Amino acid sequence: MFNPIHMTITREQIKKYAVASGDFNPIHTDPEAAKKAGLPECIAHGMLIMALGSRTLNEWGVSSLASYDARFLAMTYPDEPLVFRGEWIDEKLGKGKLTVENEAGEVKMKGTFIAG
Amino acid sequence: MTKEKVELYRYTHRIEEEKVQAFKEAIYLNDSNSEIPATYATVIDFQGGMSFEKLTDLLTFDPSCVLHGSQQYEYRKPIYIGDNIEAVVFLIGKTTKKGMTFAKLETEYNRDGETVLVSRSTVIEQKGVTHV
Repeated sequence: MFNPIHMTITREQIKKYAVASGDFNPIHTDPEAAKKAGLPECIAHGMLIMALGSRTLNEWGVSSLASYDARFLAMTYPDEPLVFRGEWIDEKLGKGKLTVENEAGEVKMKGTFIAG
Repeated sequence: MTKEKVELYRYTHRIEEEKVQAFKEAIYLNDSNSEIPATYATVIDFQGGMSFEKLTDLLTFDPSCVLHGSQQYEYRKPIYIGDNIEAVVFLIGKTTKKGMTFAKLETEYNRDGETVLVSRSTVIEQKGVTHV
């Protein structure tokens, strides 16, 4: 088990990620567009959560990857405290998993990786 | 339902240092590595030619309700700043059920004719979405 890492994504970070990535799906940055899509407010990009997951893997000492998979299971809202948890499934094979959830235990992302 | 692998689009993108740096800053990643971060292919896509508008247009998705369901990366060779990458996007399948349309995409990222990265993703069109 790796040390859990706590993070909170701000609206500013979502905007910064939209500009850096070029992903301008309006549900991430335009509150009106988010409402039109049936959301209470803008949501973080799933790819931002996945990118932060890869940074977390770095912090856990997994610096090189052969594969990295993610399923996005729930919306992530700005200022929602998140915890990134990870563990080896088979350390010998370099296979591990990563889960991102909020404080209430709602799972936002489930990922697996193979170090390489 | 589409079953065969159909080439949807292809584009080229040069990995530029300032864009890699901006991406790292957006995810608070502090390193001086010249290798791109693990999920940087999203920049190759969105800034290389597969913009959000282009993607929804090619999939005939309503851009107001598009979600990302899953993402997989298979890393074959490291990609570095300065590399020229050609991305070839294939539509693997498109299914509609209960008002949701699921499109499965596979993208091959090639450098000098060699596939260095493969991405597989599911993109969802969901009207009046309340959860992923």
